Amino acid sequence: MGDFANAVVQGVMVGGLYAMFAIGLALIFGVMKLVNIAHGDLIVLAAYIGLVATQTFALNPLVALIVVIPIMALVGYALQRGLFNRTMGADLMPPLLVSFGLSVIMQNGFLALFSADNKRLHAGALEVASIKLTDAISIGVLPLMQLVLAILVIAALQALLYRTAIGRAFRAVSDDPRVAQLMGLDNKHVFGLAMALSLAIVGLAGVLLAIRANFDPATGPTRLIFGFEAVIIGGLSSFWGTLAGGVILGVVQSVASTIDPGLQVLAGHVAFLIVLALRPHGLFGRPT
Amino acid sequence: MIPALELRQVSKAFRAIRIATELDLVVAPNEAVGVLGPNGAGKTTILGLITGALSLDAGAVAFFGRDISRLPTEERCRIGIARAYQVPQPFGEMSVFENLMVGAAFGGRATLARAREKSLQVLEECGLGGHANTPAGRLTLLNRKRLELARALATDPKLLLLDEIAGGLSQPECEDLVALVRRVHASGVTIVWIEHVLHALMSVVSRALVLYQGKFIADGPPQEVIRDPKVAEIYMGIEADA
Repeated sequence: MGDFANAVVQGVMVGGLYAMFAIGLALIFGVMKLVNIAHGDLIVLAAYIGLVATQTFALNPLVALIVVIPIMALVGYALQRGLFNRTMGADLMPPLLVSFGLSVIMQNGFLALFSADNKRLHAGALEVASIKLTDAISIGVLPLMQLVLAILVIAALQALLYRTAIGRAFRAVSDDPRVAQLMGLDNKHVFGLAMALSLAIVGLAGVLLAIRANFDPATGPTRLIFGFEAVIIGGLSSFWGTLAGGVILGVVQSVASTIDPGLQVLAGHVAFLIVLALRPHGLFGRPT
Repeated sequence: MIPALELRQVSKAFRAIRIATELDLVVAPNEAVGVLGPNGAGKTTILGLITGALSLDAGAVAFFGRDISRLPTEERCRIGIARAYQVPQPFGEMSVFENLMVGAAFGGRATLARAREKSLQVLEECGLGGHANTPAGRLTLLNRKRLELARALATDPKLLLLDEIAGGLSQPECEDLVALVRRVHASGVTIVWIEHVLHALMSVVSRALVLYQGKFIADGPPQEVIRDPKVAEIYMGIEADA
């Protein structure tokens, strides 16, 4: 019983990280119907930028976020204006293919620059610090921080979308880009801002991932899959659904691994397929 | 006087279909102009050329003396050109008030406080005061049409382009909308209005043009234009297949 409870608690916290991978994806898909296959590799890019920043300036990885997040936001804006905007149109396929190509290029770029070795960001005592709840359950400070940050990011994003002018711009462009233009919105700029925001979140998620686990040039695609699964389990209606999707994925994986560690990844995919079969719009999504 | 809107030798064709052939049009500031013509004559296309939704094949569009032919749609909105569609196209997931805020904040380039003020004012003017927080997708047809107009007004336009906004409304609803357009006109806005509901159009505009096969074939006071034999012929459908 204690093991099970512990597995659930750990899973919830991993879910926070999955949700953070996922919200950037969901935001981009929501605003501009772009399926960004390079999202996972951008997470890894953030991790490498974090690595360079920590090594060059001898920073704590969490302090390095001050550098990583703005860089990733700039990368996002430039990427959208310079590359993705040129592929956008009625057809969803060209941007998807371009992002797939970008993914391949990035992975090979990482390989050339950083070799295939595993890397990790070291955060000192924080990595092992934990809070003991009962004899069977103790919570790592780092995973807890990830969950709390995920909740804060989602709350901030919801507030941004529903209470600010730029949020209304995102929603207007998402609803009808042609009419949005007629209302004075520069869609290309709005798309650029959405990608900048998405990658700022990726910056945070990438650094947290890199403190928690090893990464290498090929890590991106598996992160992408967890992100996609969290988005689809939660449904596209709200970012809280995405958080729930991430948490469900994390809990299923974590519980399955107490039965047999080999089941961890498989169980997550099976849970995803079950949701997709029974509720194609996701657990919290509305049919459109 | 510098015209509010000027089309100079504007041409536009979709493959073999000529919508505009070296078309000229001069609209004075605060003039209200109606554009008539049979279905498929390309009236809506003309509006698209003015907003920049469609590109010109040849010629130029000028707005208060400035050549805007190469300006993107959003810039044209910001300098004061707004359009209301025949089929209202609100941002359905957003509230009525938020729809107006988008227009006021970005099209009208207003500060947030000013945009809020402007949106509330337009909301009242357009008779939508009770629906501020209603999701736009749930409005009735009349209110959707009001919102379509309100959203255009929220951008604080100097030139308002109306595309068959009276269609599909009952008589009292139509009068209601016409009264609103009159008030907008009285506030100094220049209006170009495409409309099939003639009595609605006639009660607002002081000048009517008839677009047929890429040319304006009549231009004058609306009562005279509709009695023009050439126009009557077209509307009787005699030449409709030509």
